[in-house]
Amino acid sequence: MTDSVVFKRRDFLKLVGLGAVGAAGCAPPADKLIPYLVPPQDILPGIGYWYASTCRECPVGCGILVKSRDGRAIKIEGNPAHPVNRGGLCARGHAGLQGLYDPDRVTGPMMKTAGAWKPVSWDEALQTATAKLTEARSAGKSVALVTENATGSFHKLSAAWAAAAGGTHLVYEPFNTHALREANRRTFGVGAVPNYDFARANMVISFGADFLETWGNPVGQARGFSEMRARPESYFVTVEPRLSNTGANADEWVAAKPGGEMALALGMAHVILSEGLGGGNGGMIDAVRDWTPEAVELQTEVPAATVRRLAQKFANAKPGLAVAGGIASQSEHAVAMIAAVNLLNHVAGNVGETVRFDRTLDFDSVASLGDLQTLAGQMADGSVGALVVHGANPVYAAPAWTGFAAAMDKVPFKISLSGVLDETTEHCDLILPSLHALESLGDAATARGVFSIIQPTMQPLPMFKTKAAGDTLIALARGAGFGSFPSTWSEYLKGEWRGMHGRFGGGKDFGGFWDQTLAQGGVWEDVTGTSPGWSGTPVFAAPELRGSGDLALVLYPSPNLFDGRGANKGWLQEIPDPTTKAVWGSWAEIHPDTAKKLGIAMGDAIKVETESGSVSVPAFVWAGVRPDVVAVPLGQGHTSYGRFAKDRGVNAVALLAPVQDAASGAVAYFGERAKVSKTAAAGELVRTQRERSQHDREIAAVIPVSALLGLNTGRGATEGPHATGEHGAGAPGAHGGAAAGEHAGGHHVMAGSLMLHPLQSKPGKYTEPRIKDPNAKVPPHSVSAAEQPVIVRSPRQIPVDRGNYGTATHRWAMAIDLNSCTGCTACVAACYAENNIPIVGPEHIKRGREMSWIRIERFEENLKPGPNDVRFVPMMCQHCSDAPCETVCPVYATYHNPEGLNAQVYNRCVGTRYCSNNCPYKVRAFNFFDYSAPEKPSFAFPEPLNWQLNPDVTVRSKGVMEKCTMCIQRILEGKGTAKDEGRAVRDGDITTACAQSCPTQAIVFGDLIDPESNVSKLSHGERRYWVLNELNTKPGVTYLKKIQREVAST
Amino acid sequence: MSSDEAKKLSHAATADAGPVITQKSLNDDVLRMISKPGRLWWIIFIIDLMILAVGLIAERNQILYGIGVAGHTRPVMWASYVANFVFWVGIAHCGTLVSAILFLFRSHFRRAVYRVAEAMTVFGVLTAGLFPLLHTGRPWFAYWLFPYPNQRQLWPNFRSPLEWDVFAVTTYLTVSSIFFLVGIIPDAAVARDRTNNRWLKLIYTVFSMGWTGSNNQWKNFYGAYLYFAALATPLVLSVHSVVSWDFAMSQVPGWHSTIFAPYFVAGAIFSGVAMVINLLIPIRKAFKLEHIVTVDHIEKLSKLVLLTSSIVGYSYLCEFFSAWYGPSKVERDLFWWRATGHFAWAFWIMFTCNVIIPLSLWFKPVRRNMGLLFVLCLSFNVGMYFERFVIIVTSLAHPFNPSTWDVNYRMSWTEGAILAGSFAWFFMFFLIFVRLLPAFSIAEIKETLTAPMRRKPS
Repeated sequence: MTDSVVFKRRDFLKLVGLGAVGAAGCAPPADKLIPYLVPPQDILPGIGYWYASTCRECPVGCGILVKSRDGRAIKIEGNPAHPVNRGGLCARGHAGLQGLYDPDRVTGPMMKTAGAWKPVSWDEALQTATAKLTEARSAGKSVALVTENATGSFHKLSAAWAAAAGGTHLVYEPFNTHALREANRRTFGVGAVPNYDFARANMVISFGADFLETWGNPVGQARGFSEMRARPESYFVTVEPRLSNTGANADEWVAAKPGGEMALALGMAHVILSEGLGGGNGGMIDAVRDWTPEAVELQTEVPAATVRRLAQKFANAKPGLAVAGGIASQSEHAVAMIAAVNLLNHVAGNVGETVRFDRTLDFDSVASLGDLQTLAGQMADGSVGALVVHGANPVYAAPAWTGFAAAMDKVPFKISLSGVLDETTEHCDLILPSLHALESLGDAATARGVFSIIQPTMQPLPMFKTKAAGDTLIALARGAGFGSFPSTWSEYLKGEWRGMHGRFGGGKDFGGFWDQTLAQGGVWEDVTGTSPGWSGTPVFAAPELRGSGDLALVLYPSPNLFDGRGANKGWLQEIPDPTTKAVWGSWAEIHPDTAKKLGIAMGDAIKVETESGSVSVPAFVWAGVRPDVVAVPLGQGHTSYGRFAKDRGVNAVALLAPVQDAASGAVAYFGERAKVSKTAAAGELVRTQRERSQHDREIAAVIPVSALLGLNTGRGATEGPHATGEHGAGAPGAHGGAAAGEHAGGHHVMAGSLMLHPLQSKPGKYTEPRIKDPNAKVPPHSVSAAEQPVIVRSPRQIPVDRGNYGTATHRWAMAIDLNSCTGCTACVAACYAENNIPIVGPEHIKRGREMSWIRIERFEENLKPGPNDVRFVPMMCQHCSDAPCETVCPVYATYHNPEGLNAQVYNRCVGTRYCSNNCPYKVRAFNFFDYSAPEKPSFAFPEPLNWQLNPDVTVRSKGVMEKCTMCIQRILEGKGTAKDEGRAVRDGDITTACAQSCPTQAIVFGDLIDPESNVSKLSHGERRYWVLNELNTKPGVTYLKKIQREVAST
Repeated sequence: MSSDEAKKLSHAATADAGPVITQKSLNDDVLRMISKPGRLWWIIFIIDLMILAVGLIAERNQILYGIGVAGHTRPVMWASYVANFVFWVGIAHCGTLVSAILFLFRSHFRRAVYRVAEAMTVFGVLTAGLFPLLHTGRPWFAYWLFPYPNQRQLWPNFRSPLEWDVFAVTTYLTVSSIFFLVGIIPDAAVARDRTNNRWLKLIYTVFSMGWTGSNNQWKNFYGAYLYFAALATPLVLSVHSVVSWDFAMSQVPGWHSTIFAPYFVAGAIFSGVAMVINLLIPIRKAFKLEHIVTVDHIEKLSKLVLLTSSIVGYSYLCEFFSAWYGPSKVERDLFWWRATGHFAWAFWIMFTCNVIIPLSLWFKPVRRNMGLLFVLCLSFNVGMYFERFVIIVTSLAHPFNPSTWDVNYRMSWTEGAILAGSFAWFFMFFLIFVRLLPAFSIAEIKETLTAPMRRKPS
């Protein structure tokens, strides 16, 4: 084609002149430029740098990589090399950024004078603090230090500091693993949190352990769990009175009577022992003699036949895995219950196989509730002269009857090192704010053999005058004249690591070792665990429910907010709870039958009352709880802690009676009865998904194990030209031809029948499959795994290979394995972080105006105890090859790009919203207000939250539609890098934020044209299907059906 | 046409019912309307402007803060604004129908009513045309929907039904305005010759386009009128068909249906004729023109209402039948939910007002009772508004993917104010029209008068 645009010289000059005028008139001068006249070492403006560090959002300590752009941390991702999480990261981990940029962070040292916080200078604050510490010490009183479970060098420093100061160091974690460690100590002789190998187990039975949410090492466990679930023969049973999100992934839900978990475990052990299915000795059968399946049936309402069946299956699993945790392990007989599960593991021969004491999680120094009460007692009687708190929030999380909050008022001087005004800090007299973990240097040794490094990913934020907590402690100690510490925290830390140098240095000098450690995020070694024998059988006793009322109260940690420390982060408030899909508040879950009896409907205000207290919350009515249970999540109801957390929902800790596990001293979160009644007012129940059934529309599809295995053998038999035709073709576009050819040949019966959907129109004159020319070249943008069979809607249909997109060489696509997806919502948080998605608050979510580009749809096919069928579908833009949104946009704001992406041009969007109406997946989010304009009330990024914004992604203005771009900025970056290196893009070079974050690697991103790419192979696999395929949208996102196991009827 | 019927329709025959209409008295009666406005007119006009001001304030908020001040939700991304658009386009249908189609069919009863209907059409389109603009997220860029030449070589998407709307509505506005302005030429000339006010004279001079009443002018006038009537007739069918394709061309269950075009056209005529009756009854009363716009004329119109209502009712039943009979479970679910679900009240208001109440028009006394007819026609338009609401909101609230089902749409005060403002905007034009231009076609009514000293009408 000749160039139609030929400029004459005069026209050119005119245009140049016009352009100059326009440029001068349009562009306002920038207020600030990044003055890189003297560039910082190794930093290029506009290039993201990744720093390895350790997540400190919960005690587990996953390895993370933090992306820093132009000196700002903007994204956290899991560190694939880290042994704790192996690349995944949960929603809480992603939201660490919002803690760093929390607009309600304390900006500098503050002193409480006459009940109000007044800013003071660091010098003055430190002087006051040291004077008070000296005063306390000289008065012969002790100095107490309360911290979170920091582990590593900071733990050592804290312990040494407290010892030198002459006081106690209390490591406070609300969800400590005290009962678990105590039970292991008594039964195995090892007081540690074991490493559970979910990947190896063929059958997992969970006694209340929410191991995919908050309990143990959720991200690492989720990874192992998905490896187990990939095997069709694996089996997962959950035993709990309320179906947690972990339980939702189970094949079978055994809704034992609340508190009946122990009896069930013992009953199973009884069957294994009495039928001689496993190991164990004669003493054990005596210990479980009373728990015959029939006796268990009486105690748990689980039929004896089910107990037998489960026990036999479990013993034959070899190895199986039984885990006890969560709420079930937090009763007054927690140790007995965990010991029962240990016994079950022991007799089934799982100890040392799937229950190993090698990479144990370090909870060793976490204080028990008894320690907390001892300290509270000391504080109350005036023997504590000063209290220093860092990170922990016992005033919120510890029940009022521990007396901690009241005792704090008796301490003459309290210092908080926390950077946020949480409830405990509000009780203090002085705040010496410390750096956020992402700004600080440190380490964490959260698992045995793992020494993880925490490194500053950016300069401390300039608006916050903060100091490293270690430095503050050292300054206080030196000022008050106790202990002998190096002059700075970094010296102390390096001193600690000099010891590590000898162990891990490998002959390098310390500088080289240190740099290498920082680069890889720490050092780790393989550890072998002792394989403990059975050391003693404790007395087994089941918890008795206390108090009056008809319902057993189940409190559980919120998957998003954990013990409440996530509540000040907008993302975690706005990302729906995986189970209820509720946001920004608390609720109480009750069974429909109970609700009917009490006259309660969904969302009604109800009062949950125990003898210790009461809370008013909206009701969430569903069949995922037993009729004799009311379940309330923890984590909300802060009286302080910032704008997102304050006065939102209720703190259900208030319902706890003063009961502890006798053996371990842990708080009994379970063991009370509650009364439920209707009340006048409570918060509103705001949900993002109201309809929980898919009405037979095959949004979330399953494939029975038998069909899958049959399919596999069937494919094996016809292996040959067809199989190679599908996967082995190298030329772009060969899929369509090969697949169509296969269809025409009458093979591939299964895949063909998958296409015939009950909703699909009956074939007519023009809807017969058309055989495509196998040699026809299909351009990249129209390649779709959903190519076969091609339905010709009209004889005059324009072939898809017309147009000028011929030069593209990629078709970006996704494959999402519903068998792996656990519904955890980590991907949603990753998307918020990567794509500058604003939070809108509950008032707008009520109207469905959440801006999230990806959501986890939850479909409950079967919610009765027994065979469990809850399905999760991560739903984002499907990047359809025949996209319904594209044809209806009057201005081409949404169009198909050459690489198959359904692109949205924000600048061109007029906001007719027609695209959203015509999108059958409803994955488009509309900017109803101006979330990006600081002067508007709807501004979603108050300073410094706006520092987190990804400069590679536009912040959208009001009135435009937006949606998943498949992280086009990451695609461009990957392509750019490949080009710089003079090579083609390789599979795995580019991945999206959601796929990267997924703890179970359920989402795979890649190029559908490359037949060898992971996404191509998955998209042509036997489990593939497309959501709403009957609409012929030819989605770029292929789903893989969930494997449905057969559950016996007894 | 039998002579009896001809008698009924001619004004001469109604002489015993009212004063005898002569050429002079007709001029006087019609032109009396455009004399100096009285107090009542001013009160109504000022109230009207106040309502309009409230609507403008609401629109200002919407532009300033974003479309979120309206009640739209996901999945209900369209709601009252698009319903308003369809409603007003529907209202705008009657004018062209009465003036063009009935003209071609030589239904002479149109002569007394067509000017009001045509004015209603033009003002209805002017009102309807606002909504596609103000329902967008960024109305200041709505001109991008027009295919104007630009340096970026960007062109609108001609596959989008919204783009078709742009052309359908602008074409309809152009043609109906021209038709309106052509028809008014001889009457404007009468007004021009009578007025003494300089400014009014100037206005009428413009409207009358130099009309002198020469034979040649009459010849061209009738030629043009016939030509425009022929041109406008297909538009009556096409405009609302195109509007219906906004829905039918999408794949939303409840929208994706081939019946939409005839169904919408019938509905539009139904609501438009009802609106004409609603306008005529107060006008003939207020200006004492019962002898010009007779009960017979109104009765003819109400028969048209009855006809179209039965087409609309048939369409409703047909939709349900095809949902039941057809293979799509999604469609079936939607229609069941529409009639029984959360928005069932809206559906049953629609069904009652548009199908059941119009059955009363089978009875002649009802058709000839002006007060009752007025109330009935009001209810028809309420029903037709709810029809659009039901089609738009219930279909969107219950789409393919059950996880996105939600009934969270509530009309906000902004939407209410803008809806009220749209009525105020329409009546602002209409009030000015009845005081400024001859609201009844003097020239055409004269054709029905008995020539002086003759016994039979022409």
